[in-house]
Amino acid sequence: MASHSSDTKHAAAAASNDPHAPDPHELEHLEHHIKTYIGVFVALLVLTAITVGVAYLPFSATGHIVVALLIATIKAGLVALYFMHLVSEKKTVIQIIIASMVCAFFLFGLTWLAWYNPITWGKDPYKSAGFEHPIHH
Amino acid sequence: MAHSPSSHDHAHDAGHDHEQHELIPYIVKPRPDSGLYNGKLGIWLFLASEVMLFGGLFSSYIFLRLGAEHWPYQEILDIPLGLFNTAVLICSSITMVMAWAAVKRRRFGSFLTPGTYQFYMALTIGCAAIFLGVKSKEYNDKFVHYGVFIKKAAFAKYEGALHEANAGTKEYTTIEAYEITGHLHGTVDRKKITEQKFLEIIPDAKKGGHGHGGDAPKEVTVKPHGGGGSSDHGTPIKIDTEDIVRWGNFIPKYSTFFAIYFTMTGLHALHIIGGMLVLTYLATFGANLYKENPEWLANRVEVTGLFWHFVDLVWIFLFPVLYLL
Repeated sequence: MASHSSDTKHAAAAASNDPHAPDPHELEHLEHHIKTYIGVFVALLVLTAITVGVAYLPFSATGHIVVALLIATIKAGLVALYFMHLVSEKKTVIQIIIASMVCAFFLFGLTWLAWYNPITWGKDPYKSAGFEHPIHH
Repeated sequence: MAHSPSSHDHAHDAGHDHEQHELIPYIVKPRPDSGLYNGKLGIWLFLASEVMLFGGLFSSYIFLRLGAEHWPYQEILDIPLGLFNTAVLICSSITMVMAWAAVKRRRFGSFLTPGTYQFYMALTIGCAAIFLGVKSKEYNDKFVHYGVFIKKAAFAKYEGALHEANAGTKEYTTIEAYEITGHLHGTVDRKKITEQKFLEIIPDAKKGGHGHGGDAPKEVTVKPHGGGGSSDHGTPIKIDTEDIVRWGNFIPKYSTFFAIYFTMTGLHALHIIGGMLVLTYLATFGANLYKENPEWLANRVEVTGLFWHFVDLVWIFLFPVLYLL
């Protein structure tokens, strides 16, 4: 710790004659961020252990899917917010991400449309028309 | 200290930053209106297209799984290996962000000096190599693992032997067949098996179904001890080719599960390879930029890191979806 803060001071002192010396304010923030990164790293490992542990518990199929995706979303959120700096990112980046998420969910919506066919609403069009199903025979 | 930015020609330095900005604006300092330097805007637009690419594949996964008669549940992929690889990628993410922080703190160092840029880059590349090594072992385990679909009408012939071997079987009503999986005994050559008119398979043992609600198949198979690479023990069961609907090893065409498994993990592995190439460049030849302008290098490392964390993020979803659910 002591060495970190003396490094910061040293860099600040060098700033006057080195055009590429780091901004001392930025460095101070960075020291703080590095502690956050290590915290996030530990949290990610713990959550990974939890997701595997939970997979062996006797939940229902839906329960397993909900819990696993919830943990994965929390982990993805931690990576995006801290490692990818979204906590302090500019508005432009957030707008790009929102736009891509909207389009990605639209793709998921197309899958939903394909599965719950809105023309027949789940009724088998072959059976309704009096035909045997082509897949089964 | 040869790489210290303050130890090089100061006369050359004066106004260099300014000159750079005139050639291509905003490659080091952010553009005032968006607050972003060029590289960051570019990588985020690229990552937006990546969200769509992987999003589309996850969407296909859901569709294929909804339509599948059976979906393997914690029985085909090696969970400990997948867990290990997840931890390796998380480690590579922290070393990546530490490499960026090291440039920001002006600690260039060497590959063997802990806490420096080159040290963290070497660790990140090492993690990527371990990930790919484990992934190729997993792929190979699948390529030597076989499955046979026995015709329902002929199944009675083999039922006794399969029961004795405690083999797991799955019924497929759509193609009127029973599937057994295991390792082939003797030849695996398709031509030879067609000529000799039979194949011999050492079936995977049955495992009591656990946990997974009512819609899971009642019989769940388990790989032989050791990840299934080499099970020479167990009695081989002889199956005549005339009783077989189809047989083959676990490659994409075996089932929709393996089709989507190899597509998604393969595309992910390609991203790891691509990332490794860029990381290797930035850790070696590309690192010379540090002498010219360390902030410029920091930006390049940050942008590469954004890609790398995204690839980690995709794996965070792939692991539970393919291995655990």
